Amino acid sequence: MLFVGGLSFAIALAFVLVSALGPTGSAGKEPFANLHGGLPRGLEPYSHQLQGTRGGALGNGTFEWNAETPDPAATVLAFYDQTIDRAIWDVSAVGRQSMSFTYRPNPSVRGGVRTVDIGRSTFIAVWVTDLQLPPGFPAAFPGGPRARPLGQPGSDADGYVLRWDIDGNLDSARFVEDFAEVLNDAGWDVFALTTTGPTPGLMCRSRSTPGLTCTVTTSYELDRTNSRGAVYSANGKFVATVRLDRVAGR
Amino acid sequence: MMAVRARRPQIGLSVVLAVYWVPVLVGLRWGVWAGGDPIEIAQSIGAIVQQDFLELPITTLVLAPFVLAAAVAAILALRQHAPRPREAFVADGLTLLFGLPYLLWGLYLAVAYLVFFAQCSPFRPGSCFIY
Repeated sequence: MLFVGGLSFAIALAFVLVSALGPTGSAGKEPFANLHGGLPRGLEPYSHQLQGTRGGALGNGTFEWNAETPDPAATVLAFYDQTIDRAIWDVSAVGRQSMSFTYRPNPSVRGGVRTVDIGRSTFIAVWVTDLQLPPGFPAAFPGGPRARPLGQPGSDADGYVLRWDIDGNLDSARFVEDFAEVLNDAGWDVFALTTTGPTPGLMCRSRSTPGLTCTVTTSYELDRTNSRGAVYSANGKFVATVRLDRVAGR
Repeated sequence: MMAVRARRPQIGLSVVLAVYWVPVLVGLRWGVWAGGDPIEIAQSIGAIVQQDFLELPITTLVLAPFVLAAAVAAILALRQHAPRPREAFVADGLTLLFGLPYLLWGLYLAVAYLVFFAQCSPFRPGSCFIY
């Protein structure tokens, strides 16, 4: 009996491990693993939620938790400012509508809390994404709403170039509007903002380091290799190109 | 080799039981991932077992030939009239009890998939897929 039990367990265990069944890739590692209580370690679910509004979603290198609350944005952000575990998360900014933080063990992982006033209640999004940033990328530059990295980031003597898949947003204009608010809350002045036309975008400058500027452009990119979807005909995605420049001598 | 031959019924039963362990172990891994406390682990095992048992023969396709071999060996051994130890007889019986439903379920899934792909070819416009 013991022989059969032990051998069958050993065969199954070896099969599960070799076949990599279960959490794998980025989902198997912190901070996307061990979502005790529904959120990554060091982040709390907002305590005063409207019943039935909370939910979380986990993707490859990305996590988002949502809820609605009757509380104003300031109360929500004050809660997260007080409860976030600063041994794990480095809070870079707390603003009027959002806050931004960085995962201390891996600064490429950025996160934030975003609030949206939707009339009688406030929508909350707590998100964490591995933006696959290059070493030395400014910690003060926040990640964009529902932005996922596309390819490897570029860097040269002048700065960095990132490409983000922003298809999780309603459209590129909404992404640019929301990102402008996040940037403003994170200590960046948005001095040019275009939310109409086919390629919405913005330009920003760091308030603490005016030599640091950013340019965000968006576009809809067709994926010609996958134009015949099996189930639905989405054959492209909204993409944001983020350029962060260091202006010499400033 | 002799030892393996003597243990053949138990080894066959172990291979068959291994496929039923797989969803439990996958659930255990997700439970540990989700936080690791007993409630999380129990919930994860429950959810994965419920979900994975439907497609168990697909998840464990690599083990299916071994289950088939164990079932065939058990049938052949049970057909023999020579006296055998009671333990071996019980092991062969359990091998069939757990192995045959798994194999029949796998056969059903294989036929269902074949019918689906024959009728809903992704290369044939106007089939079950929406373009």
